[in-house]
Amino acid sequence: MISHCGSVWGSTSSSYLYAILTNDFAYIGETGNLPTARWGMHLSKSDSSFKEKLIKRHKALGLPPFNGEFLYIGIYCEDIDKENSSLRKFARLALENAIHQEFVLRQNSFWPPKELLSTTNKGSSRFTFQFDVPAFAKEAVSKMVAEYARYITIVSRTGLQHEQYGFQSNIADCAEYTVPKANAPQKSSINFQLLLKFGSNGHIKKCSYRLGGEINCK
Amino acid sequence: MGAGASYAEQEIYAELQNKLINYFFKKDIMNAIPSTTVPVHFDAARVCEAIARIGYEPYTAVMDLIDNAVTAKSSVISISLLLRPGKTLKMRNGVAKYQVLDNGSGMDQSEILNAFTLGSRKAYQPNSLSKYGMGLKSAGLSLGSRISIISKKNGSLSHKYTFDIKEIESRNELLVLQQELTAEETVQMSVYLPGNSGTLIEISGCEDVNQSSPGATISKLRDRLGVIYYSFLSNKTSPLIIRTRVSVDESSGEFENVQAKDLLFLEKASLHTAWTPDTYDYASPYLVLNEQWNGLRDKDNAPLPPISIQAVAFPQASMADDKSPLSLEEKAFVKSYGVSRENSGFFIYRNGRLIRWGDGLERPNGKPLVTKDDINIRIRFEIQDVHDDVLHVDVSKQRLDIDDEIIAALEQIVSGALRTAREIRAACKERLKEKHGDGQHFNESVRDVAEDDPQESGKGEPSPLTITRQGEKNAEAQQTLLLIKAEDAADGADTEEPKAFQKIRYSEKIPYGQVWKPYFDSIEGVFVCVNKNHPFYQQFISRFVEGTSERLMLEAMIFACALAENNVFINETGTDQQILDRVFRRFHKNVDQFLSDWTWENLEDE
Repeated sequence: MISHCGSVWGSTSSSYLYAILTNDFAYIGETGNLPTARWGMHLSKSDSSFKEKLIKRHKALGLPPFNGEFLYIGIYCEDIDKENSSLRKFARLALENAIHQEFVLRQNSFWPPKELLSTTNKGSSRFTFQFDVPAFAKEAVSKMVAEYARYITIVSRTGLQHEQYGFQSNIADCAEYTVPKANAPQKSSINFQLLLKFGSNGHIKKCSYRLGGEINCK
Repeated sequence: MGAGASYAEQEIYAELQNKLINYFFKKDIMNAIPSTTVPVHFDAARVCEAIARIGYEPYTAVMDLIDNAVTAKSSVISISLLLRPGKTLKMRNGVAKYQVLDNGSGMDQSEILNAFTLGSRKAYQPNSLSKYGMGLKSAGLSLGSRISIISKKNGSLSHKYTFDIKEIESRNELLVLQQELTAEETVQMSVYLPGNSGTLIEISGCEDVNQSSPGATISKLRDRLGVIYYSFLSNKTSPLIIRTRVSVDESSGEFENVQAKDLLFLEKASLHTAWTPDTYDYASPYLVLNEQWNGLRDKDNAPLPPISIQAVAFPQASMADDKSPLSLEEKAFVKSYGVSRENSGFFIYRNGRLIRWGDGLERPNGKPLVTKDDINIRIRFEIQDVHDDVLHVDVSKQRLDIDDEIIAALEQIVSGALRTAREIRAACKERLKEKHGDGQHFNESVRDVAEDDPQESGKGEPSPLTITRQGEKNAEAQQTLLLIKAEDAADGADTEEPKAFQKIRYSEKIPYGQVWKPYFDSIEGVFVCVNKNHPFYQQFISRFVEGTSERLMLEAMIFACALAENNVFINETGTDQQILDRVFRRFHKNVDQFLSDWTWENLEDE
């Protein structure tokens, strides 16, 4: 099977913010280069790379080595590039800080919960920019939430990673469900057809669920 | 699904996800192995002794009793501290009796008996201040050894019921004493409860409990009740009235009404957001955080309602001191904020009632999230009863034990607000250092300093090329001065040229990539424009207000460089002008890069 796993476009020497997500961890960063350059570094053995931080955190928590998927989300910030060139780096830092805050404020939208492995230990309230930093952070995180939801949906359709739903695999897995029509006028009219896998033998039952009702398995 | 999931779609998937988790969770429980039960017993006196020591101060215990009155939908609650004979406000263990009188819904006999039951069962309304059915007993027994209730419901007055710890100890049995009201008590109750319903709770036997002086209790109550019950006291449709008094007997002593007090001064603070050093007035509170935290879930993974978090940063208390340059009116404002260590930190509200006052919230490393230095920030954290479990609110509903993961998330959320509060403190400190009219401003400091090029001294008249270059520089300077004037006019600033020519100016019109630019005026000589857009200015130069010695030194250094550049440019006539231009462009690029990188590396670490 072949699946599309994302496209990146943009110019170098521009301002970008990005997030890297796994099932349990997240990293938020900024770059003045095309994010792919930075993303590649995050898979390296450098101390500050996301992968290295992930390995250390897994070790500290006594978890097996990470073998799951990475989700990279990039956000191009055109308005930062309109700032005085010497201020752009500081503008990206301010936005990065605000995105960290917004990410935590909206943690429920990135379920299952993700521990942030990036840190925001420097910053200043003294800089003034031509754009509204908190409003931009909210918009950036909304875009990340939408992209994360899209990724989850794609993964659920292809059945690649059921643990993304946070289910305990020893109890059951969600094998597949039909995707409701976007922007359906009545929530209660949305029906899910679910194929649920039970127990260790993987017995699959056909179930249905009407939004707001109960799961019904025959 | 389309290219991007809408918010509605995200909600739909979250609901499905929760439903599935609950579905399998319930199945798991249904498969649990059945068990048998073995009854265990308890010692009534020991249990009473234990619940009396939950950890109340007298004033917090009284507040727990007020909570019950609020839950009973009272509109007037009267608190009395009756002194023991011969005792004064200042003497420890000076209270003979605490009285809490309300005009709430009242209780009949079965409700009174239920109220005395340990862990009384009652269907509390959502967002009720009561929860575990322990407050009356635990708060009451922390104040004295006897709790009495007389209540009126639907016009009918109850008997007097007394929960007496000594009686319970002697019989080792949970019981209450029931007594008919005396004629005197009946008359008194008709005065206390003139309406159709209400309740009088009396705590006596206070001499059996070691406690702080009545003066300390009443001042804590008067200081804090207005803040703690602010949302109830300031309710526009049905405001609550709380009154307090200290008296020697039940018939004397005037009640004093508690005034609602918003410790965050939100009405004023919400007018001031997005703090910047340039526009700060050193007197206003700033709303530096106003968010909804949508990041907590219950044990079944269902999302919990968002928690509202607001933070207000205040000017330092010293801005109200005599040496402060603020006006008397502004000083009065600053004073009214009551900025102090006690009044800083997290103010945690549960269902609208303050349960934690100025908590620093300890981090895993033992250091509080809001330290003693963060004296000028107040963070309002509004939880509901549904958050009790995840935030480990204890039985007294006055303490929380927030776990490390949630503290880490909170730290992320409030770090920006704490940073701004720190900047405000620094700005206030700098403002107080400002010199007033004592001649230390930069213009005056260079008034008698020569601007000659030392290599040109004794050479006689300047060369024609020097004069040409000076002319070109002057033309550029005059254009720039016009630009600055236009910039000031656009900003609404006074465009009248000051009496003394400004030798150092701050502008947003400097070419990018340059920290300062020297100019030459054919009459006034060299002047320099400093780039307000440069991070070095924003982070460091602007930190020191005009007139302070730090600022003067910085200005002197910049002016010296500008003067040197100008003198080299106009006097180094043996070198081609284009070469000089290139050299100085490169020089400024280096200064810009270094100061930008230096600023980046020296941003304050958390």
